[in-house]
Amino acid sequence: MQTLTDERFLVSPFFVFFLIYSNIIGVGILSFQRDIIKSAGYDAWISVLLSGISIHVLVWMIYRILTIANNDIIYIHQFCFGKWIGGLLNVFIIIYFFVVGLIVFRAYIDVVQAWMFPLMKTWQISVIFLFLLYYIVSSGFRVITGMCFWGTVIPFVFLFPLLVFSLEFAQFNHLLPLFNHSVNEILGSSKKMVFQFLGFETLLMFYPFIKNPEKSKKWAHFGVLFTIFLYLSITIITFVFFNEEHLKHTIWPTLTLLKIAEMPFIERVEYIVVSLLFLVVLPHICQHLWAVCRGLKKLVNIKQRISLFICLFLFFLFSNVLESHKQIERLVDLYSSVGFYFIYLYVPFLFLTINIKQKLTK
Amino acid sequence: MNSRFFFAVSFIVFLTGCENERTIDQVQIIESIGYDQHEDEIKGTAIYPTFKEKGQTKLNILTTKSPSYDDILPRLNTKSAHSIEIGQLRLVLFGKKFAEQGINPVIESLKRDPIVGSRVQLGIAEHTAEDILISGEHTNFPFHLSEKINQNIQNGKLPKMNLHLFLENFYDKGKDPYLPYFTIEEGRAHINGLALFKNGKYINHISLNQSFIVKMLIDGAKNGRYYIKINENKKDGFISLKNLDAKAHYTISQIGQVPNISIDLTMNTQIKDVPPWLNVTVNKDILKIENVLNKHFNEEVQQLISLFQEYQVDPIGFGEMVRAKSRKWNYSRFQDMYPHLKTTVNTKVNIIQIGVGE
Repeated sequence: MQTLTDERFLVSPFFVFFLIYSNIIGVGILSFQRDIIKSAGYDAWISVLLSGISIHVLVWMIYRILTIANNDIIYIHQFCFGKWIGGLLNVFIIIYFFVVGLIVFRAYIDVVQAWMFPLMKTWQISVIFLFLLYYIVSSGFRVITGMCFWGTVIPFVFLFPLLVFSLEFAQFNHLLPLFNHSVNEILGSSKKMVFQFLGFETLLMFYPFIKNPEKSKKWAHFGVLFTIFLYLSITIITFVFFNEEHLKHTIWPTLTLLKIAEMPFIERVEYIVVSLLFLVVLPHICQHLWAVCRGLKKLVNIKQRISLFICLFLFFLFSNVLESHKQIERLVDLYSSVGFYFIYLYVPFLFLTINIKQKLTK
Repeated sequence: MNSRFFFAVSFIVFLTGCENERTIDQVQIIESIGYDQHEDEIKGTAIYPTFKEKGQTKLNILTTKSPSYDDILPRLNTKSAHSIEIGQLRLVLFGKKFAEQGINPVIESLKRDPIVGSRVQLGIAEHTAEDILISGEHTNFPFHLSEKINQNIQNGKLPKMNLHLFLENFYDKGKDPYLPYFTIEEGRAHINGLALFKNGKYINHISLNQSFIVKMLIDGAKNGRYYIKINENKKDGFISLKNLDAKAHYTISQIGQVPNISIDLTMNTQIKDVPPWLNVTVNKDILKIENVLNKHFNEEVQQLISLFQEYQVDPIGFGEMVRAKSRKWNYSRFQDMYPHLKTTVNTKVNIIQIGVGE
């Protein structure tokens, strides 16, 4: 299959696994349990499964859309809706990616401030952060993919085994009685959980950069499957470790859970966890930033380096404007509802449109 | 390229050093803190070690009084040459009077502080926390009180506990927290039972032997020495045994009305000492001892549960068990029926080891 991009910029289909995985996992992994338990209680693990399955369907849809067009979303919009409406939609989607990157960026700094350096100013952390972001994003998509690979492997190898420590205090009784909540309550939690899976939409942007995109399909699904596995195991471990009321009083349950780990040579693990989490959020932000710059390049033909500079400057500006945890939470809430409608309404809509369009042109 | 590289590296150097510097020699690391009610005020006592030379530590005491517990640490800070850090806090002790008013505000503020670990131990002092903390001053052994608790959880009669488990039981509606109860014996602090809590308030305490039964009922104890007095055919004596492995199994029936809980307690034990008129190598006597033990533990468990029902506390977590079995669990309804809960106990004590001598 021919691709539009030069071969030397492409990545092998296998890496789509890491791209999808690291785009889904973000700072949300530290706190999602407390959001999902609100409605479905201990049955919320079912919600994790349900929303995970729906993400599989959406990934399938996105692949259908992309194979038909064999290009990215910017092109698809202009192809389906013409220059002006499509252009407007493109502006929206670029803003969307930008805001996602910004939220993860600021939310991570918030975690660092709460857990490690309460006195540190936002600008100090963000400046260091932004230099690294510039370095990675300006080096192109292949470097970002490399970051995704390490951002997946290193944290997983180090952090996942730490969860075992908490099993010492596990109360499996918490999960009983099973299915004690109504379908509505479980769906309510699923809606909250969807937010944690957001991020895979960047697939709409990096699709042309995959070598043999047909083959990458299965890796994308593997990536989603793996995140479901990770979310599910963290959910269950959290639920047996904390009871419902306790969880509601904990802002970052995953970190509090890891606090229990005790090793002879290290007193407190959560400092290492917060630092390693940097590797988790870094590729996440990089990809969204890259998507913004790529989108701008295709839309208005700005050099990626210049648009990256502007983006980073705006990152710096906005992250300093958002000072308190409450403000960040409000932005996250806004993003989660926009993201929800984006993937559940807009993606199927796009799916239908492009199918009809294809039939008509034939 | 080169200049850019140095520019970037310089950020790492300059920015890492500028925030939150805490040099180990310039902080006062508090290892235990105690809170007492003194008339209208709260008295805080803190212990911190100072390290003189290798292998030598000295424990020092700081005390202060304030109308509010929040103010204790800032006030202690004004008495100290170095800033006070609670990152290594291992024990928070409460005087009984303070605990009767409720310790939950202190516990919740500990929970909110990311610096405090989850394995911090908590405890109740019979008179004042100050006594207990000061009594350990001359030992010059840092962390000795928290180690005492940890050691007794592992080898002794205390059920598993720490800050995390306290919070778990505190927030759990179907379970109530418990803490070790300290008294002073011959000038030394010692653990003398288990303090029971309801909604963060101290209710009463039980003896150490009863604490061992709680341990068996909750965790399924792996360790712990226990002795009972027996009296048979007008002959007195003590049986001393070591618990090797105990497991409690609960069956709950009649969930709709007042639940009926039957407890099957299986204990595998090692006999340490028996009175001279019993012989542990004779099968008949072993059966006899087993029967005596069965009867004893059966009664003890029953008594303990009715005691809990009388105090309206639920450290074993019957509420949580019933919740896990019922579709519509209601806290206040369970609360009302808790004193009328029916329990049947079947104990099965197996003597599986008798030591190596005769």
